[in-house]
Order: sequence, then structure tokens, then C-alpha cells
Amino acid sequence: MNNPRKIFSEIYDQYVEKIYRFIFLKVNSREIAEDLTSETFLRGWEAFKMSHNPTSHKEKIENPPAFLYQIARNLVIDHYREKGKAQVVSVESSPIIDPRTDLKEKTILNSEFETVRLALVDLREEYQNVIVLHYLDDLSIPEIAKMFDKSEGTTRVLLHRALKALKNKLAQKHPKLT
Amino acid sequence: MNLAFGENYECFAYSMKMTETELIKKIQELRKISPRKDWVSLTKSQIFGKEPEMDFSQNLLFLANKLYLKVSPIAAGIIHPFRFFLGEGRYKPVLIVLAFLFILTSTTFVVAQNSLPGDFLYSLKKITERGQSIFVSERQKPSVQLELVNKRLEELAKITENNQTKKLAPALSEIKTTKDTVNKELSRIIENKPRKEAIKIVKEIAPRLKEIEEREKEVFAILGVEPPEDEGGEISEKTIAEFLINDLKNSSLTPVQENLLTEAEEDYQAGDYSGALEKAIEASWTK
Repeated sequence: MNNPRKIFSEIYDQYVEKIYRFIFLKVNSREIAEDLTSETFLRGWEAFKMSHNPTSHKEKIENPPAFLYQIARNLVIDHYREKGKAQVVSVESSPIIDPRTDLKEKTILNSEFETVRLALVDLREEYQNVIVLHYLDDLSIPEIAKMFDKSEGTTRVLLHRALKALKNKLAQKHPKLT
Repeated sequence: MNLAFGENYECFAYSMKMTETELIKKIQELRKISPRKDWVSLTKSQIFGKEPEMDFSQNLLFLANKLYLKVSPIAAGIIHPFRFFLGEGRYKPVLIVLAFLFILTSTTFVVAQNSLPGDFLYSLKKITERGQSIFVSERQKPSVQLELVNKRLEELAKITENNQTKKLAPALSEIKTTKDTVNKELSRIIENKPRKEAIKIVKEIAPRLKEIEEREKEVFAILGVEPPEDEGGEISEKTIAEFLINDLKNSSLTPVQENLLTEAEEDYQAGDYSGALEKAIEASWTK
């Protein structure tokens, strides 16, 4: 039995954490990430329902997860457009609240986790997305390729370049260490 | 999201010369970023609660299953075999309505059993108790009624514990009413039943009566008030003690029993009916 609610409910269970993380990495706020994630699934559900309605003329959504990621990306863009903020608030560009200037002390306080996160969100979007989707959300190369309408070969190259860019970004943030 | 703070500088410097594998491992630590579980459940219910896709009977079945498994395992066992019929057939509407009424009654009954004096469903609890007492034999009635006194005392104890001051007055009233019922029943037995039968019944309930009197003193001591007076005098302890003492006097006793009887009489004369009852009970049950 084709029950759209049951199907989408399973998709929700499977992807809610991934979509949340995908958004959080871009907005760096739990509240905003929660709002945008719930909006993503709400819109996704509405569209999914319509596409499964025999009386509607909407095309069936072949790849609901990809559709959800697309909605999430668009919502993040809309969010920043509304707020007029820069996408990345890096350590260097944030207002100096902490009067300490000693690099050693700052580095001790900043975790590796935060550094990697900031470096990731500082990458261009397609690099960011492919790293998150492949290494965090465990999507395969073919799945990512299908999602962005690229060939598998192109996606593999993109992933390799994304990793290299991230490594360079990490090195850039701490030039004294390279 | 839990951030790992306070990483060592030297350790981080080492990681800058990391391999691709190490970098991937670092990236995968970002999996720590996850939503709150309660937010996930709430959001799901908000999204899917807007327009349920299941039809009415499926919704009802789902609700019935959830409610029954939590509230009434016995009811679940009864309803479950019918779930297959609920999905199809001409009996579906009737069975759905019956199932719904059964759920409602069962749940209301369970909730009523835990209600306290002053609660909305308390009167239902009292009706249930009265209904149950209809099927009790005359001989067992005093015991059953004594247990109701105990129930009322436990309700009062719960109210006191939870500081539910608004329920105090109805609870105290319920205790008085229930004790009056016990006293009336005991009077009726003592006055109307053949002596031998009356003695048997009184001997059976006397120990339990003593326990409940003690419990009453405990509960009221916590409350800081005196237990309410029985209508028509202190029938319970005094009358039972007197009854047992008279019975013992007319029986052949062992030396131990004789001693206990003497002590019981002394306590009775001194107005210590609780002490007299305790010793009379002991003498009655000692061989």
C-alpha cells in the first residue's frame, strides 16, 4: 500500500538529523537551524503530498532527500538575504570581545572541532555541500551526483578538490603551524 | 551541540600535518552536531499532526492500541483479536463504536480508582465500591467496610503528603462517613446476630480494627488534628473490647489467657479501650 504519510515519515526519521546538521553548519545557531529544518520538512511534506495526489498535476518527487536538501539550501539563502548577514562568522572577523591577544591561549580555548567547522563553512558552497553530504551524511558518490545533476566522475573530482581546499583553509587559519 | 574545548596546542599543531584520513576523521567529528530529541519528536508531530493521512478507523485503532497498552493490558488482550475485523466487513462501524466505548469506560474506570476526595471522578470510585459490596456476604461485610476505612485513611495520607489542602475537608468527611457505616454494621451484628456468630465475626475483625485505629492515629498525628468522633459514641474500640472481654469471661481459659483478661479488664476500667481491646484480642487468639 502506497501511503505517502508513512513514506515521508520514514524519510523524516532518516534525514531530520542530516538536514539539521546541514543547516546548522551554515547558520551556526540552534534556534535558526531548528526553525529552518522544520520549515524544510513542512514544505517537503506539502510538496510530497501534492505529488502523490492522483488529482494533482504535480510531478512525482523521484528523490525526496535531494529535494529536501534543495529546500534547505534555499531556505538558508533566504535567511541570509533577509538578515543581511555574512554567511560565515569567522574567528578573525568577529568583534573582539575577548581581550586576550595571546595566540597560544586562544588556540587552547578554540577546539579542533570549532576550527574544522569554521574552515568548512568558509569553503565555497559546492565544496562544503559535497564534504557534508559524503563524509557526514554518508551519501554515496552516485547519490550526490544525482542530487546535483552531475556525473559521478565530476562529483569524485569535486570531492577531492573540496578536501584539498579544506586542508588549505585549515593551514591558512594557522599559518604559523604549516 | 557539545563543543570540545580546551584542546592542547601541541596536539593541534600535529594535526596540521595530517593525512587525508585524519582530516576525514576530524570532519566526521562534526557528526556531534545533532538536534534535540524532544524537538525532533515535537516537530514530527507538528508536521504530521496537521493532516492525518490514515482514515478514521485506522486512527481509532492506532489510538486504541496505544491507549490500551498503556492503561489497560487486559482490555488490549480483548480488543486485539478484533483488530483484524475492524479493518473490513460490515461489522466494522459497530465494532469501532464498541471499541471506542470500551476504551472510554476502561480509561475512566482506571483514572477514577486513583482519584481522591474532591476530585471529579471520586463519586465514580464510590459507586464502584458500593457496587462491589453488593456481592459481599453479610459475614464479610464488616471486614470489607473496615478496608474501606483504611482506603479513606490512605487517601487522607496522600492528600496530606501532597499538601492538597482543598481536599482535606472532603477527605475527613469521607472518613467519618465510612467509620459510621462500620459502626452501624457492628452494632447490627452485636444486637441482632446469635451470640456465637456475633463473637466469631467480631473476633475476626478485631485485629484488623486495631490496626486501622493505629493507622488512623498515625495519619491524624501527621495532620495535627484529632480523629473525628464516631456518631453515637466510641462504638468501635470500647464496644468490641467489652464484647470480647464478656466472651472471654464465659469461656474456659488457660493461665496465660486469664492474665491477659485481667489486664484487659483493668485497662477497660481505666478508660484505655485501645489497650483493653489489644489485650482482649491477644487473649482471644492465644491458645
